[in-house]
Amino acid sequence: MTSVEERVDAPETGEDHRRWSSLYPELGKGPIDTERFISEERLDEERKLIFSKSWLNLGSVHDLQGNNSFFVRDVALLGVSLLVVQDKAGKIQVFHNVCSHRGNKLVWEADGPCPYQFACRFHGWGYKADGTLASVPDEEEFFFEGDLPNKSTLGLVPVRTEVWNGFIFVNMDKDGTETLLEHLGPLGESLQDFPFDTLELRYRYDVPDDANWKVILDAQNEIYHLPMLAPLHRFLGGGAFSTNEDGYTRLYDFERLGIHTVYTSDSDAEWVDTPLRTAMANLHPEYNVVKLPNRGPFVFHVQFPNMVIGFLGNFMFTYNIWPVSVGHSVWEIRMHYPKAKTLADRVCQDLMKVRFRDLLCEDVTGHAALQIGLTSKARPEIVLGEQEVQIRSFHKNVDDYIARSTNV
Amino acid sequence: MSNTVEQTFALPSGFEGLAKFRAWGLPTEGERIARRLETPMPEVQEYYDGMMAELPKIMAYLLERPATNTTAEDENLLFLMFSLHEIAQAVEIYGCGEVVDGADVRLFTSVLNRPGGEVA
Ligand code: FES
Ligand SMILES: [Fe+2]
Repeated sequence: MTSVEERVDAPETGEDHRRWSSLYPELGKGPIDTERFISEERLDEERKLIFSKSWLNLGSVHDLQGNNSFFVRDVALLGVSLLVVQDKAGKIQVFHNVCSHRGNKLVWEADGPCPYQFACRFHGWGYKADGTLASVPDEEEFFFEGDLPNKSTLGLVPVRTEVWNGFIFVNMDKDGTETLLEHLGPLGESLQDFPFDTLELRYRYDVPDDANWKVILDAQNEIYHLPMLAPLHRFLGGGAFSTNEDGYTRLYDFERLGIHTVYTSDSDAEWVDTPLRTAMANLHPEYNVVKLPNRGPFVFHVQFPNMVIGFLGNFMFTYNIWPVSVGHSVWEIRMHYPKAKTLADRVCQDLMKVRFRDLLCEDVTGHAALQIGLTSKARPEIVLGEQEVQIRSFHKNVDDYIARSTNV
Repeated sequence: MSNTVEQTFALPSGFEGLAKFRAWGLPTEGERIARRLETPMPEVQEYYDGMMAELPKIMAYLLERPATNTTAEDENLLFLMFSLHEIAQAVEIYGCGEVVDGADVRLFTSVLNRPGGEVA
């Protein structure tokens, strides 16, 4: 992304106060309804009109073990189990993880190297990595003849699959025509040349979270809460993220990127970290050397609908927030770092992980508390301030997407 | 008998003094979190102080060690560092093992199993 100062549509320098609402007047300033976080009908709409239509990220090449490997991803909201396969040549294709014989869930393991054939546990039908049905025990007893289904038509059912910068996406809409690049739009352009391949995935958390998927996303999609919520938030809210003279966090930049968004935050120059981290910064010569070409110390992209690509210094985190029911989700968190060269680098990776993990552990309690309050219907609306413009924008993107899908 | 125990927790030469902390040399995140939660704060503080005092020496050593083909001795030293990271949260931020005002931190146990010095 371009810096706000470089943008032609940027507000006058110094016009910090409420700059985003003047830059994006289409977002409005009014409250938004709470029904969207608590109603079954709304989740149904989202299932049909967003999650069944939009490109969805299932993870990345880091979730695979290289060529000739697989992982399985069950998407509860859509009631599907997906088999992600990278073949011997490196091509990635996603299939329904369903045996063509009598519908058994084919692969039960979470991931691994591809076996000689994916063998169904029920009656042993075997599929190759390219999805073709290769073997049928007692084949002579089947009626593979005439117009009846036969081995060549009974391969695994493929799902529309595209890979961007190592990120694996599917689109469950068989008839959809939008490409992944079209979906990613300006977000994809802004990160097209990012050196994702220099990073390694070290940690992944699958956290059950008692909140609507958008409550979780919203609570992450702002830094207004940092100085308040819980001890580690308060510590970091003291200047790890930029604050004004009153101690309130301030966005450095916010940009709408088509149906996606990005915001950034700087940190306060005089902020002092904990004794351990201060010591580490002195002992590891590269502790504070930023190797990634990021826009700032903290960058948070919302990749519509349910993914986040974020950067904190040299550390990349991704979220995939999967709705399970109206008030329950699974928050998938992955942490990536520049590849460790020394064991001291490994130490820095773990140090960063522990802080970030505990920070998000504080957030989980906040998510559940938000959901409780919203579900009570005490108020029909929530209000958003200027420092929550990202949230306003996300909900407009959701509403617009649903409206467009309805009209198609 | 205690010799045998110490032998199963080998450290790189020069770091033998840290063997007294071997109970913190835990290979998995789940074990380290559990120990953070169950250890009384005076003992946690003792570990924090002991490791912080050795930090310059430990980091100088680890900076020279490649990230691959880790020896068992180096791995144990790494595990001690990872436990330090865990309990530094208790000492520096929370004043106790739990994530205060947060969820059960055991919900956050990495599901990955990666080579190179750490399993989940
Ligand atoms: S259901 Fe898979 S082989 Fe029968
Ligand atoms: Fe937070």
